[in-house]
Amino acid sequence: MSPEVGSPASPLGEMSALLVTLAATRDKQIFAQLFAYYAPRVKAYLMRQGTDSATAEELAQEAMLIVWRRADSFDPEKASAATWIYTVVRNLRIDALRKLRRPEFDLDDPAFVPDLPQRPDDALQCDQTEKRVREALKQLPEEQAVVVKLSFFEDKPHGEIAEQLSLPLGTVKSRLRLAMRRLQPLLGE
Amino acid sequence: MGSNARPNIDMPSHHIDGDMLLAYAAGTLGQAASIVVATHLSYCPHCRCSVLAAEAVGGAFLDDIAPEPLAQGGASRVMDRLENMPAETRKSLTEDTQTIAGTVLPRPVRAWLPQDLSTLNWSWVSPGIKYTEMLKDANGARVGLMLAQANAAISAHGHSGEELTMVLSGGYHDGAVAFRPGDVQSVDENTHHEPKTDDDGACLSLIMISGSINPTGLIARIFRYFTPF
Ligand SMILES: [Zn+2]
Repeated sequence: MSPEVGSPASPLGEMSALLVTLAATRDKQIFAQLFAYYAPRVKAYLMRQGTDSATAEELAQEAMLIVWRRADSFDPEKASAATWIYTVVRNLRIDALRKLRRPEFDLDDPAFVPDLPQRPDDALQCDQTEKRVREALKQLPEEQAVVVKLSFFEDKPHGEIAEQLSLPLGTVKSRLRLAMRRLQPLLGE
Repeated sequence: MGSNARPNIDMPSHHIDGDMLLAYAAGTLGQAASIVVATHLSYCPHCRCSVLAAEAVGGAFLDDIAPEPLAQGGASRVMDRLENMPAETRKSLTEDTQTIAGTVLPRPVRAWLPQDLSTLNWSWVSPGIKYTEMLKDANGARVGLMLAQANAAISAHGHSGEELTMVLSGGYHDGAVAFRPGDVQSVDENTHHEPKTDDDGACLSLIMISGSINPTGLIARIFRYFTPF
């Protein structure tokens, strides 16, 4: 597809820049641009996962209000605006629909082991993640792409996805592991 | 991997499987397993990188999806609410100095334990081994802390699902394979394994069990305490 994915002119870079500006300025016009682009996508994403239209609308508005309040914690070095907003929506959905607190690691945790600056190869892999992941996603073999897509859109554990595809659970898991290896190859594997 | 100069924990050498990291990123992993994953992520830059990649897949899907128009007036209602919503400042965490087996517990574990760790309800499940349950999730999976003395056989047979163990302090061996703080071991009911804690001190680990429990073996004894058979 378009080779310019990730360049400043694409939504990937443009929206991330807007989100950084929002954190710095708290400008409502900037927020309005992010809202116009993401709120309808968040609503569509939630409906794709089986949320009814009214609840999806409500959660999309709620998610965008979280974006407004927490724009400051967006780190463009770690993720794009799309990915960060995706995580906001995911956590909100778990909190709201399942009434559960999602276990998360905490950067301020005294027990937290930070990234290792003395291993530049690791840092490089993480910096490049967004662009590379999108490229790798397009190149996934069909059977891996299918299970990855269902994992995100079906809101079901892998056991149920396996049943839906009439595949053994082990096959679904191994396809997902292979996919993850293409999306994020680890050093030393 | 152990040559860098950080004090306590080296980069873990046994990681969470990719399918589980992807389920965690997709938000479909059960609560009990998610606690183990989040705890490992506190210790493991590699797996954090993988989760970031999986989340980027979610971001790509979000960018690519055909937008669903909002209801009339939805945007302006949100714009109206911005006025009364100041930016959230990061809440600073109160320093926790309480320890178990000499270890300050990482947040994803701490969050499911009582404020005062001396009130923890430990049960002896085997000579030299005690257990406290943190949570049983909607799918019936359980997660808890297991504290074993040196040279204890922590064999955990006799359950139908998955078993996930992560060392928090000390260590154990399963055959020739060593598990140190941050390391994760995942086995299913078909795996024969003989984990034994190291002889140089106590081993604290986080343990998650899914599936039904067969009433033999250590894990059965752990869970019989909580589940009448
Ligand atoms: Zn890891």
